[in-house]
Amino acid sequence: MENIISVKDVTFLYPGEENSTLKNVSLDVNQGEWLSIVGHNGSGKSTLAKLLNGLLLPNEGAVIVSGKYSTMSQEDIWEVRRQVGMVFQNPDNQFVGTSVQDDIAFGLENFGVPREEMVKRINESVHRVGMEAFLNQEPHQLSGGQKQRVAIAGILAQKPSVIILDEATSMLDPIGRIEVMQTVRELNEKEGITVISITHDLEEALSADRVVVMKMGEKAAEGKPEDIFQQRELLLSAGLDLPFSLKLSEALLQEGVELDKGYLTQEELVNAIWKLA
Amino acid sequence: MEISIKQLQHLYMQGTPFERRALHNVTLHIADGTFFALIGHTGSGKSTLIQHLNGLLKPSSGSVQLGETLIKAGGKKQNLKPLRRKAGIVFQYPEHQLFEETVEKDIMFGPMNFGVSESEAKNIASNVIEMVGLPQTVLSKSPFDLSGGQMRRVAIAGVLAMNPEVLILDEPTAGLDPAGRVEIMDLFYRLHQTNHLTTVLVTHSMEDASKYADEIAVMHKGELYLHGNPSQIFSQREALQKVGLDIPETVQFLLKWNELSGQNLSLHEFTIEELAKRISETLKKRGN
Repeated sequence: MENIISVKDVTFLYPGEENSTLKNVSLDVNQGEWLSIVGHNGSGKSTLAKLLNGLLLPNEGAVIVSGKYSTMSQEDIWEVRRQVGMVFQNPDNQFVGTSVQDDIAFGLENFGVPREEMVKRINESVHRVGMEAFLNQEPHQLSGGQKQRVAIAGILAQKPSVIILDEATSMLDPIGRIEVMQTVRELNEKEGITVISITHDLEEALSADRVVVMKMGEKAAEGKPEDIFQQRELLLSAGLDLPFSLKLSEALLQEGVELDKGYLTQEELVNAIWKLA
Repeated sequence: MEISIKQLQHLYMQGTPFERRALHNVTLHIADGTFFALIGHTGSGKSTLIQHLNGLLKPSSGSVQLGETLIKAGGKKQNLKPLRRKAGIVFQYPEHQLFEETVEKDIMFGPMNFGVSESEAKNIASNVIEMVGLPQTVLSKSPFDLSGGQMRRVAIAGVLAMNPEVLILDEPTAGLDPAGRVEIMDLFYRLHQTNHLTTVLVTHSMEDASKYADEIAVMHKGELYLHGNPSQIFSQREALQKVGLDIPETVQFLLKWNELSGQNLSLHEFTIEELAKRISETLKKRGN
């Protein structure tokens, strides 16, 4: 599979800090995959996300997008930002327009897209996030989930290869969370857009193609969810929790009910227990 | 402290073309010492309701009583300072409200505002910083040099410094990692018990509501939609799903198990340990 982003031995230090926030992190993001990045508060996962589209630049190492665009290059940075869009945590901090269509147009204006093309792209992208009925609405008339979908539409209008979600659902209520995740999942599955999701939501990470665990500024592990989420000590030491099904398996073992292996989903586990009966 | 809400209605921008009804006919009694969870999605009226509990908002009609203090619609302007001291609110992302040069000064600000002497306020700061599980050395640091989790604890310490009898928590774990979430919720639960507090927790987490709450109220469109103990609330899955909420994972799993096994097991504590016990018991019975 092709690499869409390559992080090469990156070290990053915030000005004025003594310790590096990221230490020698290397990571390849595959084209079309859903990659979840998990870790404790302060593990460096959001910093890593900001390095991926050049919002922050590495002190050492390099970040390369699409095999040739470096975030360090003044010439490449616009192409990097166009290809790698980012949705932030707080829906209220990223709405700049006075209406939905103005908000999406803002990004396109920055890229010098001609008006006719702009109108076409706005209509197309609101449709893809299911917000076509809201084109002229003002931000205060929208829910948090709807604002995040507008942010995603703004990114889509720039024809990106990658969408980064930086805890983009953590301030939303359960309904908003489902809305946004469904939208992104469709873009990933139907259109092949690569998704990198920085998250504390373990159930979400469980359904990713791959998971990266960050710990104290370093990459502590990387792999398929079914391998990563079996590693009890790793998860707990990285400030995470075990998925529900594994916690229940442990509690069952305490009660003398032994299972042949770790099951990650409720369905698998309930069926496995039923077989014991 | 006992909380009594009677036929509470709140209208935003009353008397203007933008008038909007945020709360309608809410009647709720919270007994002294209850751990009370308030759930419902955005716009359901939860935040409006809790802002009435320390007088940040006044009823458009109806009344709110906390202990001796009665706040009612059209009532005389009264001094709410004593109430605000007794009912402490931990807002969402409370660390955004830190502002002083040092952690110690930030915590001392509240008590001194209420007339506590400087030396006494210093003592209080030193006590509450331990309550939230931070070392004394943090007191001399700038709050802005701390990690997100530490800043949250400092902000919580600032509320505890007022020695409240009612603690109102508006999604206090939002944005924290899973380990931090458990730590903060356990901290509140410990404080609730040792300081004999009445706690009102606003949350989206059914797990937290089931784990800590004695009573749960579900808000929907400004009205009280469901009210009861966790067993009563979580036996109404359809009613919850209708308003975009769901039951805790333990109950979800048990329903799957009941469906497969044809049994009718139920939970009372909603913990994973209890769930494991119920299931292992039935397996053992079958084994015999």
